[in-house]
Amino acid sequence: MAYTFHNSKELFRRAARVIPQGIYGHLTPVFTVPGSYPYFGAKAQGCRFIDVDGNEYIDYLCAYGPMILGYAHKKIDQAYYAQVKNGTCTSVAPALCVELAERLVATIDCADWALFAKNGADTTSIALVLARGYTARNKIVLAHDGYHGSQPWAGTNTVGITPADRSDFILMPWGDIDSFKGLVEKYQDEIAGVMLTPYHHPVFADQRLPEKNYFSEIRSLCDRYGIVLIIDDIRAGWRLDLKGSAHYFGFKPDLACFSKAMANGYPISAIVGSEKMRITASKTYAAGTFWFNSGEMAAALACIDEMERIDAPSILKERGEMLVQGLQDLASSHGLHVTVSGPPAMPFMRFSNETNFMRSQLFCGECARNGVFFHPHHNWFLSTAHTKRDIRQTLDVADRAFKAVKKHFGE
Amino acid sequence: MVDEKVLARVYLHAVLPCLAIITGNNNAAQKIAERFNGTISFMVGLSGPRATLTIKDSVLTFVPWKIPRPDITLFFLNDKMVNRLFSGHAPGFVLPIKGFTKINGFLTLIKLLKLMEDILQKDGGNNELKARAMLHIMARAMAVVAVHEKESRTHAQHLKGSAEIAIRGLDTVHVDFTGETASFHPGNAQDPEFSLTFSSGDVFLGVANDTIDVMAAVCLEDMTLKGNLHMGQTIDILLDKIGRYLR
Repeated sequence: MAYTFHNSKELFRRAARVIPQGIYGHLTPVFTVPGSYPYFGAKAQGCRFIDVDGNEYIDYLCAYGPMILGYAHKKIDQAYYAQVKNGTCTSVAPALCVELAERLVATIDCADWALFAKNGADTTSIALVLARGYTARNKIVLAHDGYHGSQPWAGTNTVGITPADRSDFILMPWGDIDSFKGLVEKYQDEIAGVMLTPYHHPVFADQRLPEKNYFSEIRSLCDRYGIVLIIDDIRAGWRLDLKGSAHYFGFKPDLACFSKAMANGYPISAIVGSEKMRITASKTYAAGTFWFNSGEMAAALACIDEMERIDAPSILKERGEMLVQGLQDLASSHGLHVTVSGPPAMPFMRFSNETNFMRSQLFCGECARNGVFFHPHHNWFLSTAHTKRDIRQTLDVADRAFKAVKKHFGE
Repeated sequence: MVDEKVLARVYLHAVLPCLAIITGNNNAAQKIAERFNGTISFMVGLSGPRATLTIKDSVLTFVPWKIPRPDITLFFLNDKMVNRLFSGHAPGFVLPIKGFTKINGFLTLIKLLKLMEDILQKDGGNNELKARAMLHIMARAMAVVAVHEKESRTHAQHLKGSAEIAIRGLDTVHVDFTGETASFHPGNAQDPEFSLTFSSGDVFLGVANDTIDVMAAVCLEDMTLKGNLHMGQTIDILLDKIGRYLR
């Protein structure tokens, strides 16, 4: 029987009285299919969570990325709790910060040093400061529809934003090397940095992997014009390659930002950089009250160890390929046309014969009401906790959801 | 920042046409409209927007251009004069360059505008009529700002397809976007790219008057969003802009 969401709704009514939007930011249910999705979770384990109505889901959002090894992972949680027993937010820096920085430098290909923060957005903002500090220039190039956080400069918010907040940002299409060439020629002495995701993962659209020479040409133009190359690896980081997504795609950025999957759900982020950026980083004041919390650092160390031990990227690729192939075969068997884009570890599926996502909304709504948590507009995430059995169960549910789409839309 | 040129267009091509809804659904408005049969054209400067209202047997129709040989032509020297008329200031600034003797038609128009203002702005009246009129005004205004307002145009150029807005059990309208143009239409869209449905007139008015938490209303299913929500986000930006113009 399909799920109902009585308790979610009731809790949401309470929430809406005391929290603007009820649930805000990326967890807002507005962009799912309200009425077919749960709003509040009760507990989570492995690749599954249970909502406040007692409905269980196989989760392909993984908390929008952080949950790479599965919810409530024993090793990571034990590392965290062992550390917080000894204090977590302290008056002096924790010894663990040295160990974690050394681990990042040893693991990530482009890292000669590391700074810690809490969220991905902290690090993208620091990256801009470092690029501007290094070059003594103002302008930053970003890609259209790229996501780097909700800060005023990042362009995701429209309320309370002034033209000055975005005046030194130039937008270009992601993946279009000629656009970048045109910009560096036009603004050559003004561009401090270019910030890009390692592959394009916008919402409401197919994902795009870089063409063979895209990043080598970006790197070469940055070197020629003295521009700092920043990779925002917050969403993709750790899922493609533990050495960083830039390593996966064969290039070295000057700065790279990580968070999400770094500590399997514990709040920590890091910006790492090459040798040439070290002195600028050393002159910069960057601080947040909780940026040196040691519990999260212990969780990050345990998470990196575990990801390395089990070779997480290869598991994610294998499970992702199984899911993607299964969905494509099922769609085809129903006479439906789907496009799956992005790497298998973070796929995005849409119906090829529509631009308005109505089939996707019906499909994902049907899946959610039957225990599979996909998102109709945002890329999905695999975790190493997704077993082949979970994926087979997912495909059973997807089969019924495709049937519903076929019945409603015909094609 | 309100652009007077855009505001004048919003008044002439979004607010003025809604007199038809008011007179079609309000006895007092019908009585006022009974006093005049004829056509009233509006001209702003030599190259500004045009519009014509036709009143026949207390039924109003609207076209966004000047018809040949109207009974009355109201000439506004500039956009500001249009805006003063519609915002309730100094109607005497308008020059009836034709049909000067048909003062009755002009007075009928002024009375209808005043009644519409009362219906739209006062609380406690016929909320269903108010919601329907506001729905049409906002959708028509969306088509205006998408083409004529600089910032909105930048956003609207990415919109392709129909955006349908409905108040359940009351009325449905849609705006067709092509990237370069935007046009208002009453009724359902054939294949909407995005649809927004309000569960009642009160919810719609709450959103229009900025007294309802829209995101929460969606989650509580007082509003339903379907289709291309990316388009919906842009529609939201346009509606916010309209709010600034009509505040």
